[in-house]
Amino acid sequence: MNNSIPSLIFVSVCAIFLLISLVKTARRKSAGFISITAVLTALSVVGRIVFTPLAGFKPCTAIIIIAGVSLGADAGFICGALTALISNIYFGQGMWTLFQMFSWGLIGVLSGILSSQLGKYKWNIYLFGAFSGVLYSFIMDVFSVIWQDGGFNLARFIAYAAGSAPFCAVYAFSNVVFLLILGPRMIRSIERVVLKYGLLKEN
Amino acid sequence: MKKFSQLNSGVLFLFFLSVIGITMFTQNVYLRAISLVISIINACFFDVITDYFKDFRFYLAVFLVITVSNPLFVHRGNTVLFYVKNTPITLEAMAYGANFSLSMIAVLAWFRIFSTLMTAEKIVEIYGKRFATLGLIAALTLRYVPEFKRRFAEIADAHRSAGLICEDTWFEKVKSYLKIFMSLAEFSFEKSANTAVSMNARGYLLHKRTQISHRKFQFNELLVLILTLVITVCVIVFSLTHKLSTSFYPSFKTDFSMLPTILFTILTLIPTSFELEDRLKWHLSNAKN
Repeated sequence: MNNSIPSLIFVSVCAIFLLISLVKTARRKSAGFISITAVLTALSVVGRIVFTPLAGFKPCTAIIIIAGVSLGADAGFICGALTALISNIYFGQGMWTLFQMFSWGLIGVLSGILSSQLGKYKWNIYLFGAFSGVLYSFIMDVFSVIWQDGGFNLARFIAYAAGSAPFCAVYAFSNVVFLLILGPRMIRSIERVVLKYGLLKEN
Repeated sequence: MKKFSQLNSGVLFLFFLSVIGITMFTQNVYLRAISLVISIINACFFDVITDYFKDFRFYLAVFLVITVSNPLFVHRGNTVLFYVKNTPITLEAMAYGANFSLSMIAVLAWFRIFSTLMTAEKIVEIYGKRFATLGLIAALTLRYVPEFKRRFAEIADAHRSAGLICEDTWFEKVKSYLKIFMSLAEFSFEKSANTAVSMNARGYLLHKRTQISHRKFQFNELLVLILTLVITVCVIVFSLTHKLSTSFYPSFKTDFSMLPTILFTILTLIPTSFELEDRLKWHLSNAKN
């Protein structure tokens, strides 16, 4: 198919990103890092489950960004990828699990890399939250198109993007709301716990 | 107990990976149809057939929507059925949609069996060795999630009885949910410190990890592993040499070759054969008495 080259590049870039992140996180970490990352992941999974009555209004992305900002890119990736994998035990596994693992993992890594920038001004993190809502929606649309056509079909992509635009807006808005309410308090209390018990100290 | 689900979890995972991968990436109509039909046969043996019938309307809707909507986006193909505002609606595009939705339904059906057989422990068993940190975090998370759910309900009850929760407007609802969530978070951060301290006290990172399960690799598992690998390689080779290709544009043409089709049927029938063997043995031993 004539459109298959860009989609092949896209898919292979995603696969390489997942592989590199897996290899980078395979190193053994301190007990404190493991337990606090597990707690953040569990919070994000539980958030996805208990906020079901408020359709589309999920704190997952916000918590992944908080994990990335306060604990680094490794924790962001692990939190994002595992949130998708484990919450889909409750919501149903499928091909989309891989796409979600990729997009949430990417958001976690980005927030870890940009953490110094995001902490500098108050508005940066909210902007990043809105941006990651759009990014998540965009990546899911691109994957759906590639999976269905075996190549990139612009007409179908536009139709999907138009169909998912309301959800995209809800994602972006809810990320900003959750970061606004949860963000400062959660980052502060994570810092406090890490400092008090020396959780990230390698021994 | 189900015999097939007691196989080595790595072998099981490889089996599902191979079946779902072939179903998803092959374009061959016959292989996809076989995959769908046999997934339903397998479902009879793993008690998920009732879920199938519950989802039947959803599957039908998926099939219809994709089949009808595909010609709206793709206008290639020789057989033009009719025109909508000067854009041709072709039979081939519709056939492509039908073929794609067939594979999607088959994949969904296989994933249902996958999630009943591959329990959380098995997933941890596979990833625990290779990705030690990731596996450990996954195991901890799987333990935390039910506990946090219960704790969330408890905190919600406490808040409700104290009259702190207001569910009148949507915004009030979000605010009170977040209040509960934040108390849960504060509580669980303290708990994580506790976990870390006890992990260190038990000597985490001091030695290499040891494995609990020392089960030997059995003949059955070896058989399934070899069958899976050989058949997957065979199907890949046949599809790379264009013996299994299907082309839709400009006109519909699908290839049929005997060997990979039969081999794929055997591969997908493995779970059923395990269960059949078990039931036959049971009935025979009953008949003797």
